[in-house]
Amino acid sequence: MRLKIDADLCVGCKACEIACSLEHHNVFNPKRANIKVIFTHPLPSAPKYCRQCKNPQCVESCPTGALWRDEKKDMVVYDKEKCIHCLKCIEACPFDSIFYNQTTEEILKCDLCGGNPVCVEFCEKDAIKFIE
Amino acid sequence: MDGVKGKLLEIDLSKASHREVKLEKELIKKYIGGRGLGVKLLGDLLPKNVDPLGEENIMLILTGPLTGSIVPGSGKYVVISKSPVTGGFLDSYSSGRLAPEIKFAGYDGLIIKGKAKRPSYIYIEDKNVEIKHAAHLWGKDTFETEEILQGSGEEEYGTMCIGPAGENLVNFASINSDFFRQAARGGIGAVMGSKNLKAIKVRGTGDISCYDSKGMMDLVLKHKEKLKESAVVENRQKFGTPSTLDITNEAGMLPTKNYQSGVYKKAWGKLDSEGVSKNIIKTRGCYGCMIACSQITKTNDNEEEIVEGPEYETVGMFGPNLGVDSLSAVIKANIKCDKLGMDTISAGNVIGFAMECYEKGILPKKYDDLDLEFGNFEAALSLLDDIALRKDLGELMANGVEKMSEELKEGSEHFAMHVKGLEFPAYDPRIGLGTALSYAVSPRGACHRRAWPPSIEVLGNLEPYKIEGKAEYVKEKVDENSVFHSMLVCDFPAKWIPLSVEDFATYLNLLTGENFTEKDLWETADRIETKIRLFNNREGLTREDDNLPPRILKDTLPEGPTKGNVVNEKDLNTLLDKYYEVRGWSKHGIPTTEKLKELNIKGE
Repeated sequence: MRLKIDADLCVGCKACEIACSLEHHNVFNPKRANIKVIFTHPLPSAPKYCRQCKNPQCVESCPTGALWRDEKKDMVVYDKEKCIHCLKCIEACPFDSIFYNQTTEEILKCDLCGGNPVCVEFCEKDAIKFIE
Repeated sequence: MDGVKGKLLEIDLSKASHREVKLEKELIKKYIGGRGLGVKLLGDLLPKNVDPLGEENIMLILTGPLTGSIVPGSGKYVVISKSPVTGGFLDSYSSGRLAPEIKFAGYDGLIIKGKAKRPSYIYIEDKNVEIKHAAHLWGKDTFETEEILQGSGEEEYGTMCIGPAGENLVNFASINSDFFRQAARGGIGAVMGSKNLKAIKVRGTGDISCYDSKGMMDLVLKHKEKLKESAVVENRQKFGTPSTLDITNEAGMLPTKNYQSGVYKKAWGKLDSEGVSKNIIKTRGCYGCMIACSQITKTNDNEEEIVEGPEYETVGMFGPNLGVDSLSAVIKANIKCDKLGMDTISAGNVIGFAMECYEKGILPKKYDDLDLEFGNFEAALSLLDDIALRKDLGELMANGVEKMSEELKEGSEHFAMHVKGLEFPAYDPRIGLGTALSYAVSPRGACHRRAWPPSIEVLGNLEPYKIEGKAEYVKEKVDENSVFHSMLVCDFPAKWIPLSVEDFATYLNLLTGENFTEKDLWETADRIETKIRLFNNREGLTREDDNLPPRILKDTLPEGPTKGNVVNEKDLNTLLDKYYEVRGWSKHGIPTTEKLKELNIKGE
């Protein structure tokens, strides 16, 4: 399963980011979200989000095995205990969709909220879909 | 208290210094934030009778407890100051990323004091606060300024800035955020310009805590379901605010040629929802808003000419009010106003006034070569530049219709459409007595954002010209908005979904962990509105100022469903008596001692 976003439908409201930060950290802080809508002038840009790639370059780049592809769950999983913050995955991701928050020193990687992504739930425009 | 930071950042531009000021929990409980907190702080911090454009005036840039959360409409800030237009209380609201960024940076708001020695801008990143030179930004329009402030775009910043109009202290200069959003009414941009402050740029990395995340998410999702049933939401999501023109033109309250008529037949299919929808290229939503009513349009002549809007007010003031039926022309005026940093409402109003002066031969002889006939849109566009740069006739117009008519005389006061100096927005108050009352008593001058009685006088079932029930209705609606604008949320989701004051009490409690009741919030609103009245009284505003222009009191509307409508002065006086009475104010519009005791603000 993975997310799919229709950028044409995105209105740039950031509800996905806000909900994501609330779900994962119990706070409002879009800078700690695993999904990002970058504001560009004059139109909102396409959101950045993890594709849960079949041949994930982030996994390939990870020296410690903190990232791997879980075929049963059909997604790329991140284990922060194994992560050494080398940030190689961020460089490797072709979609610029793994993020690093310098203040909290967190790697931000979409975990599909354990199977019920809140970004999908909170997107009023149905721009974010959860698909096979 | 969860959800709030309990801190304000005070920046003194004269001393080039800053400090943190504690925001007591008791103050939040008593005044919430935004509008409410603003009037309390303004009254406490500002000495009496200061010059609004002098060094002593202050600017409060405030958020509210709900700012930055996921509550619908929680992406707004308010700038509060002493108004250069009315000399009284001024609150001017805008959406923009600035609002949540201020809170992420760790503050509930900013207090801006003094005046910088030279053009400056303020940069805030969490605890790091710098007052920087802005010589490279001074003179630039707001789009250029924001592009420079945003830099590469890798990091996002919340910004607010003024354009040339603000620098030149134009009476209706705006503050701009995110290119297209403005705190525009009441000349707040001129206050910022008077402080030599070009811009503020903020980035915050901190969290906003939430007392009950699960409860918060559940309630937002419940309201997200509820909005699917709302026909108003559906309409606004499709057309944005311009669909209001369908109502105002049909009802006969659409300002036409400087309020000489309330009907503009040529608008149908061109400036109404149908007309505007042809030019929409994209929808945008403010921070965290599930409605997203903002429509981005382009002109017919140039793909590059894009604006977020035009909102209904802009369409009304630059369309029918100027005798113009071209949407592209309205969009061009919108872009120009945004870039120059000017309120489209007042700008459209003052141009309409100049056009009527031209029609009546009142303009000074030296402007004889100007062709200011209603409908001449090219002339209107070039006047916008002249106003912002205070050039030629623009110098006179930059002071607003009240001062311009005082200068011109020759009976022009009769059709200078303002209350307390603030220009009328795009609703003719002759539509009904409630609407007339709401304009007369609005603390910042002629304003459609405090109460909007057409919702009962046109769309509802209260007879427009019956006095009964109007004062009570206006009070209730003013108080309701007072709650929303103190929380601080946009009142659109609240009204369109719709959500009640009780719903917002629940939101506030889920966020803060406190126990606000609906009753508390209504009482708080009553307190806030009386505090604002006290501030205006203190600054010299009286019952005399709760008035309407002669045109509204003497001229009947000439055609359409409102043909023959005029607001009788006696009726207005009866309405004022009644409004003051339901507010607990004296016949002179001064809050009584009993009322102050009841609201727990006596001697405060």
